[in-house]
Amino acid sequence: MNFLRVIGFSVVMLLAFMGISHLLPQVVPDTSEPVEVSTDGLDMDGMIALGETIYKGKGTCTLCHNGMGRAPDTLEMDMAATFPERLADPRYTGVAAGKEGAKAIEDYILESMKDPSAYVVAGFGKKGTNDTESPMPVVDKAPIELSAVEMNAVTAFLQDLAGLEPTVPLPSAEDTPVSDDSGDGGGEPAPLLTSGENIIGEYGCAACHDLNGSGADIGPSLYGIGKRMDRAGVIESIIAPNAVIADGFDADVMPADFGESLRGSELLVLADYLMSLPDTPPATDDGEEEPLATTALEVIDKFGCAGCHDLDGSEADVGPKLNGIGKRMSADQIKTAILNPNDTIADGFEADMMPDDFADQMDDSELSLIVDYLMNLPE
Amino acid sequence: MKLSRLLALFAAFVLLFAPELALAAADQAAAVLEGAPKPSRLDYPMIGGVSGRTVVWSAAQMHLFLAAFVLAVPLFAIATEFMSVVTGDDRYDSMAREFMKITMAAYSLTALVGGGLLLSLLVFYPHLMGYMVKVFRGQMLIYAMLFGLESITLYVYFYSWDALRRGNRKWYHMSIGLLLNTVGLTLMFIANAWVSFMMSPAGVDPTGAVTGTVWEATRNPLWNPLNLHRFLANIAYGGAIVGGYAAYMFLAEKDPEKKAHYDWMGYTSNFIAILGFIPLPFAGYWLMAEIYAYSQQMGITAMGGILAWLFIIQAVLIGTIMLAANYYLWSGLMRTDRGAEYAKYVKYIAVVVVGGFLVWLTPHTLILTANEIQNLGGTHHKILGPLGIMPAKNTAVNLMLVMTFLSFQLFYRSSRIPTVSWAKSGNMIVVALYVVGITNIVSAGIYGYITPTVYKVGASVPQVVSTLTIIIGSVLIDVFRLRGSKPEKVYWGRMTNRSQYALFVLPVAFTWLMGLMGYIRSSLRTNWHVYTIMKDNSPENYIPTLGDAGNVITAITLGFMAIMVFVFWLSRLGQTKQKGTEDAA
Repeated sequence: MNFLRVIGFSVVMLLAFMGISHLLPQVVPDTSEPVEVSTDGLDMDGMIALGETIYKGKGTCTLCHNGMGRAPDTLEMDMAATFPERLADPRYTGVAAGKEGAKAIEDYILESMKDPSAYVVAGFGKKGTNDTESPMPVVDKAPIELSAVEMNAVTAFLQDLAGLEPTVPLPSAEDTPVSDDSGDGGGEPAPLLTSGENIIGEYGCAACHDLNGSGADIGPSLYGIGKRMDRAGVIESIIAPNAVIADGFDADVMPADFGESLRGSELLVLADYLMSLPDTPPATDDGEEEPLATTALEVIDKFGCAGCHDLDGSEADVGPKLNGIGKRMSADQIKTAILNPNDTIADGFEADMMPDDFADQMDDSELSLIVDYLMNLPE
Repeated sequence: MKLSRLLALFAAFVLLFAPELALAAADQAAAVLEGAPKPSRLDYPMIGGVSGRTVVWSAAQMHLFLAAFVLAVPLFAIATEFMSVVTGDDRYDSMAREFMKITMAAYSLTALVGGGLLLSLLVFYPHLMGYMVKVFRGQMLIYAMLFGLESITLYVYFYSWDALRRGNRKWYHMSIGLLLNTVGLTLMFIANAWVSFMMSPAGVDPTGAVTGTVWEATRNPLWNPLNLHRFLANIAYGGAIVGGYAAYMFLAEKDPEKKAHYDWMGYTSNFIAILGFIPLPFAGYWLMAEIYAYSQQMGITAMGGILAWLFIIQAVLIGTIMLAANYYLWSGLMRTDRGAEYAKYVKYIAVVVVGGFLVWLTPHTLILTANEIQNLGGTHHKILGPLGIMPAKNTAVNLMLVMTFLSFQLFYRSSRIPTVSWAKSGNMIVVALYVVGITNIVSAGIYGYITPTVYKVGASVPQVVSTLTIIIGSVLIDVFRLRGSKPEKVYWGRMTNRSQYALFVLPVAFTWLMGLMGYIRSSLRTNWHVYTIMKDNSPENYIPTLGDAGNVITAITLGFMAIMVFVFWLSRLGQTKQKGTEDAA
């Protein structure tokens, strides 16, 4: 009896520890095999956007360059004033010492990435080295291993941050491709999307934003956005959606990984397309309805389901994953979940996220198609 | 620094027995100047649907649990044996022998699981193993030879116990024990060299080509911090497991004399566990500081990056251990008649320990929905948020350690009446030590709030110094204050059954904690087999989520518990005699 009590007590304790490990936020790893994406055709805005993505992502710059005091908080500082001060510092004897202008700053930034100890800002050196040795890793070496194009992109981003016209060269076809961790698991990279409509269809933007007549209102309408924001602002809103939240909308709703999943040129094409949108949705002829979707895939495209749900590898996580849903729900339950999405909310998700007007928008035949498709969708 | 040199000297001494290990790389340059292998995803063997990483993870962690136990027990067995010689109390000697009896059954299982680990590494990570052999060369053979020597000394030490128990022979026996522990620690240091090399490689160039000696690779930046951390953790762990054994025997025994013996054994084991545990956070601090010094990026990944949430679980586990250890000590006050006089302080200690526990597990960033974030105006709570940062946590953990020590001190004092003339003033000095020390800990904590992040770390040093000063200072004063004191009767066995469950909390929480720390230490390398030198390109090169890691750690801990139950059962089986056998003889 004692034995069973002791074992029971210990097992309950273990389960409690295990339970806590599940209660805490889970950082879901990217298990895909990295693929390389060509940066050929990227313009300077794209380089700046790419640079920001690398600065906050692969480059791991913000691990130290933040407000915690480990390294200068570059994103918050007045870099327009700081760069000239650094070049004029008598302690600085590097490649850009005594020089001025954007090109000198480019040289300075690149030098600081490749040889961080060439100049250490006072107070930020390794302990006991009297600011002669930097704790910063060399970014083109392991473990960060930025390519020349990636370092140029970061430089362009920092130059832009300082209000300068970037001076770095644009990438060419011969340049080393940029490593992109958003691969699909080892196959060939997905084909490059070259039109705004295709990109919006692929990434399901219309599921949340009023686009192509979707009328969705989870995110702000994108019509007329060119008058409300500049191009850089639109790019920032795509790759860092929580940086600025439009009035009346919530943070953390829009996926924050478009900076990684969109190719450089796709990002620019999308931004240009959005900038060119009219102020209001184009008028539709009364009585003329959108053509009926005749296959389940057309239904998914038309209503942008993959924009929020992980569906056949879309990896979106605003709504629950739909692969394998046929094993978890009956056809009637799926139908109800589409027509009245707030009736039952899956664990870990929130109410009022899915549009509740599919009953008006979706034809019965379309509903049947999508329900049948989902019922048979494998894990 | 001195400690680091001592450890290095010790290891250098041992390695002198293997002359080829000290060969300069130049002698072998032609053979080894080739970079680390770069296996592609397809180069990692796929065997059915088996997760190679989980197999290696489980085998490595299980081997570590068992090895920590079988290395630690001989350490405090010889210390206990020495106590028996010094005090002349034979109970210590019997208990040391009983400690070793438990170890014997675990020893062969440790070797078995170690063999399983080696095989699984060779099967699932052949390129990594090939590279590690290239770096450490003959040291791996030395490891195998030392393992043989460890086996011989262990068996001789245990089986010669009664033959070498009295007089001068006892010193021979203890010499064998010393040799056993020397070999055991050397084994651990060598294994630590391999693990720490994977985190902070040395003796190789940036391509991984071997350019230095084995000694250079061994003495990599994180080797000594890891040695110290594991040495202390092993002692705490071994004590906790033997304590669990003693608690079970206490519950199972009906004979009051045996019950008293196991109560005493439980108390001593708990004492050893806490003795190893108290300096552990400081050793952990040194390890973390060295990680930051080696690679700031690696340090931030651990403390402020994707693994930061893990430290909330660590806080829960260590808090659980502290609460359980204190509860057991408070319960122990009922063993003496004067215990009631000290029991009145328990409620104050409990408030500090529970308060410290709550502060320690308060996260800086809260887990909230988007709406809650909007309502709160951010992810940090205005009042509780400040409790989530390091100054609050350092203050909490130091106060918890001080209070745990105080609980020990109360029990010890309840069993003795001082007779020296200055007993009262001595007590006043001890009280003053506590007051000044605690004030210093709290003040340094407050200073941490008003200074930049970089100096916050520095603010923890005076806190650690204050804690150690309180502990060492009051031990020294009590040693003199209680010299020639009148001992009070201690009624061993006068404990509640409930109190024994606290002794089960310790090994379970320790085991899970060690598993968790193994997960974080390994995750710090991110997607590198050998950090910055050899990339892990396997399909499982990512850091698993906390929940997934929790599942694996729980499964391994359950497996380890099953093994321990078997080990304890085996150790009891040797004493069981078939009914009627003696009569027949």
